[in-house]
Amino acid sequence: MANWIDILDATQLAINLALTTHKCALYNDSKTPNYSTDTVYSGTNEVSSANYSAEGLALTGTSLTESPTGTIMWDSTLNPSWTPVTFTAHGAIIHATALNKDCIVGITFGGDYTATAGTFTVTWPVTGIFTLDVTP
Amino acid sequence: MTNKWREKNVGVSLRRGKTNKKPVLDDRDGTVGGYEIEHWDDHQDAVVMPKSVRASFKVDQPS
Repeated sequence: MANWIDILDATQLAINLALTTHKCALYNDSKTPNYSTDTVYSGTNEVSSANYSAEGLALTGTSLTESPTGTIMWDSTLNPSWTPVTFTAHGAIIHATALNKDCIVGITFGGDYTATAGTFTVTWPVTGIFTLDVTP
Repeated sequence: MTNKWREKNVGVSLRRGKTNKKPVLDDRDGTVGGYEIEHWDDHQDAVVMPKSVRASFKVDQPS
């Protein structure tokens, strides 16, 4: 939240959501995000495996559009995928790698997901990674 | 004799291509949030389908 305040206030934190370098990092259930104070990427409780690089995978194909009418939608055509990997993940944090690894959004999976010598895929919803509905 | 022979082969499957797709429920609302897919050779895939993170500017409704 602190980053979003800085985006909107005099700080004018310059997170460019059109960049294709923002990374999606995965975390296990031991991660307890503090949405008030966490501002930058942390490797604590990040998953670990061969074929998974710390900080996660760059989200190419990002877009910031109005969809549906009255709603700002941030999305990516890339569904991040790692293979073959062995880990359990419970959530993800997308961070601005090119800007001090500032956190953009946290996503809970609502449960533990385990890949064992297999493929771990995050499939973004058709309604976007996040939306801001400005319609009162 | 026949039963003993069967017992010694319990758990051994020579069938390939068999998978078990297990839904993972979202602990917030009980809906299916994705799947874990077990394969015959013991490797397992995971597919997460997270919900959109939503924020909105909504006016208070009259009480």
